[in-house]
Formats: sequence, structure tokens, C-alpha cells
Amino acid sequence: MRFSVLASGSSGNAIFVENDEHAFLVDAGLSGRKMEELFASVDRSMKNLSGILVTHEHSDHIKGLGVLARKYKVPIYANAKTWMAMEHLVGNIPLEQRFHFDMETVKTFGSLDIQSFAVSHDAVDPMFYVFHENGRKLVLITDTGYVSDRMKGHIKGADSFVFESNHDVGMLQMGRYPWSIKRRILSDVGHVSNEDAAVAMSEVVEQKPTRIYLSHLSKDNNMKDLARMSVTQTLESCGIVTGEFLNLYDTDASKATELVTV
Amino acid sequence: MDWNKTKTIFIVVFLILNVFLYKLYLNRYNDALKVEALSETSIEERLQADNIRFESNPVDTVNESYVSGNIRVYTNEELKSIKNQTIEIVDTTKLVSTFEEPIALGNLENRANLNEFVSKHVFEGSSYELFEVDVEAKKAVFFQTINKRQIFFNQNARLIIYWNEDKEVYRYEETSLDEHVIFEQTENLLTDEAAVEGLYKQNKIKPNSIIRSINLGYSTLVQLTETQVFAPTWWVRVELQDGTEEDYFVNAVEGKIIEFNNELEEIDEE
Repeated sequence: MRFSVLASGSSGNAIFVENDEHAFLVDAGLSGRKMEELFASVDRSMKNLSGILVTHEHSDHIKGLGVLARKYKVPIYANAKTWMAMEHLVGNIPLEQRFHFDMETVKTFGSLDIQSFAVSHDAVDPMFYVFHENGRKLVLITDTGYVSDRMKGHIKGADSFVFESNHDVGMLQMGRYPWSIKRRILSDVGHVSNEDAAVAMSEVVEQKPTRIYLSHLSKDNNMKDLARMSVTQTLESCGIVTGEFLNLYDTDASKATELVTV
Repeated sequence: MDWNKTKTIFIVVFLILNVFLYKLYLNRYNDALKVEALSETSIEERLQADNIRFESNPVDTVNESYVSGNIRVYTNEELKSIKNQTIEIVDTTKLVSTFEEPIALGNLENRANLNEFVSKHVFEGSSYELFEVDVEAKKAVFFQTINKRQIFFNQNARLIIYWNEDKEVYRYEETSLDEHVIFEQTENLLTDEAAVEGLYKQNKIKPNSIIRSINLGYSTLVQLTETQVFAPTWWVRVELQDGTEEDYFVNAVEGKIIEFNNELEEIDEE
């Protein structure tokens, strides 16, 4: 199983996951053209996609969905409430391309099992995914206000994580966002801060080679260097030294990460 | 009744009325534009009206990065080479040094002289730059520089030198940050003029003041477990009508005014 974080941040999110038989895109939060460029940058084509999995209906996750679905005739997977919520946002998608992926279920595509789990975010029914293949596990978890014990149960022991590290609380509090937005981001249905993400990571990583991609960084309230420093130091305070079995990686709002094997 | 005539009269009257109303609208619209144009230049005019003058050199800085550093832990090993000083390491992060023979400081008015003194006689003194001289208390406060800019009011990045009646430095205390990182991401900064405008709009700058100097440095943005992250910050020094000086600090990315709560008084108390 291989994956690349094509783009991550409030300006658009997309993650590519493939094995030898299937290829999936999780969210299509950038314009169709930009998505095609990102695919090309990892030497892949959208023509070979087996499906697009949608996490929730926010525009930074579905901006290019309608265009790509119509152009490439790709099956789209989302839960029922998310389908309803994004109905008017994605335009007309033929019925034969619409599939339900219910919350807390597993779908099997050959040797690849994809499991959905609920996150706490201010969308109608947000969920993220865990990919399993041959005992290897890839977790995608962004857009959640906190990481509950139930979520930790789903994601524990993964070999690779794409983990939200959205903001630095100090920067957010000092920044220029209106108070209502600050409150929303800091709430249980907002986004996870660098420190909270690191504390959650410390509880779900196991003593084996693990990659963590710090993702969905706020453009205004975080920086790559800051997120990495903050997560590293919080993990250290929890007794986990990065660089030994666990390595942190950056993601970018417009540049794909290298396609790596889980 | 001649309806045709009546109709024509109505049309002519309403035509005249419409022309009149349109002219009225145009006049008001142009007046509104003039008011807007006035308000655009009003800050400069208001500064002028309040007799607030700039005597600072303009600073050409468009982009700058955030930086970070860790609190330095001193070891006896690295201090071995220091001669003619008795150095004590306090709580691993602070140096307190006493000169065996006090050293003459020279002209207190000359910033370059003071900076040269610390470069020559203080442990790694060239990484500090003078912030303020307190003649009465016979001491001078320096702040450490990262990326060639001062870090304002950080108790882990400052140097204080003390002198006696004969203007001879007999003691200094220093703390510093190491493992400096200049962040990859750069930010478009507010201009120095915009920083002053922000201060003026918030009534920080009083009438009849002179903007003596504007410099770019850093102030603490985020405090992590081991690391402190610093944001580009404008330091505006203002001379009031009575000759006293006030310092203001403005976050050069966000434009927020930064209050250092009596940090120099805290330094005094130590």
C-alpha cells in the first residue's frame, strides 16, 4: 500500500492511496485542474482511480469533486448525510457513480480494507478512514476538534498517520480571526492543536517504525517549523523521542508529498 | 380637455424632474467621493495637525521570517578561556560575572562604544546589542540578536552590565538562546509607517511627539516546552514634548500592539 498527501490545509485537501490493484482519492478539495497537476506530480493519473472517498462536505474537501466525478466517471463514496449536505455543492453526479459508505463500517476492495470512523467536526456526519492491507495500517485523521478514546481505538498502532496538527493555540488566540471563529476552531467540533495532536499521537503510536504526516496546518495560525517543533517537544514530554522509531513529515497546501509505501 | 397636450406636458415635466434629480444625485455622489478622498489622507494630515514628526530613518523591509531559539544551558567547560573574570553559573542558564579589575567604559552617550565594550569584554558579547542605558542606576541593558535583529524583553536573551562611580564596569549578567532556527516561511510585513499609524489610531502617540527611531526586532510569539518562537516586531521610540522617551512595540505581521508588562522594572528588581 502506498500513499501521498497531495495537498493539505484550509485551502484544500486531497490524499492519494493505492495498492497494486486499486487507487483511491480521499477528498478532492482543490480545483479539477489543480488536482490533475498534483496527480501528475506523483506520476499518477486520475483515469485509474477506483473511487473518491469523501470525509465531509466542507468546501476544502469537495471543491473539485463534481468536476472530477463527471470528467473521469469515478465512483464517489460518502455517507448518506454527507451526500445530502453536498448535493447542491457538487452539481449533478449520475446515480451510478453514487455509493454509500456508512459510518463505522468496512469496505473491501481486493486485498485492501477501508474502515470508516467518526470524527468530531462541525459538518453533518464527518468521518475519516483507516486503510488496512496485509497487516499494514494507514490512518487518515484530520478535521476533528479532539481525538476521543473511540477514535484512538480505531487508529492505534498504525504504521503511517496523516494526522491533523492544525494550529498553535497561542498564535490563534493572538491572531486576527474574529472571536467567533477562534471559539469554533478551539471547540470540540473544530480542529486539533499541535499540542493536543501530539498528546493523542503519544497514546496511539507503538514501538515500531512509524511515519506521521502533520497535516491540515492553518495558514494563519501555524507554520511547518512550529508544528514540527511543538509536536516533537510534546511527544518528548510524553516520553517519545522522534527520529528513533517515529518520524515526522511535513505536508503542504499545494505540493504533494513523496509517494511512500506503508 | 386636450389629452394629447396634457400627456405632452406630463412627459416634459417629468423629463425635467428626472434631469434635476439626476443632477442632484451626481452632486451628492461627487461630494461623497471627495469625503472619501479626504479620509484617505487624513492620517498624515492628522499626524501633521498634532505636530507629530518623523525623525527616524525609513526601514526597507518587506519580508521576514519567524525565528526560534532554545534556552542556553552554560557549562564550566565553555567558560574556561575567560580571563580576569570570576564567573558563576546560576541555575545552569544565567551567567553572573565579576571583573577582577573593573574596566573603564568610556562615553555612555555613544551606543557604538557600549556595543564595542561588550563585544570585547563580555562572554560572547558580540551577540548582544544595546537597548537602553540607565545612567542613574549605572547599568545598561542589551538584548541578544538573532538573524541580526534584537529580541525584545526576553529574560532568556539579555545582558546587563553594571558600572561604578568611576564609570568602570565591575559586573555583568547574561542569559542567551541557542539552536537558532530561521523559519522557512516568510511573511509580508507591515511598513514602519503603518506601525506608527496603528499606534496613533490607538491614541498611543501623543501630540507634539517626535518619532525618534523605528527598528525591526523580534518578540516572543509562542513558548513551547523547550523552544521559544519569535515574531518580527517593530520597535518605535517616541520622544514626548517634555523630552522623555517612550517605547512601543507592534507585531509586524499582525499589527497588534505588544505590551511588555514593566519588563525593565522587573530587570531593576533583580
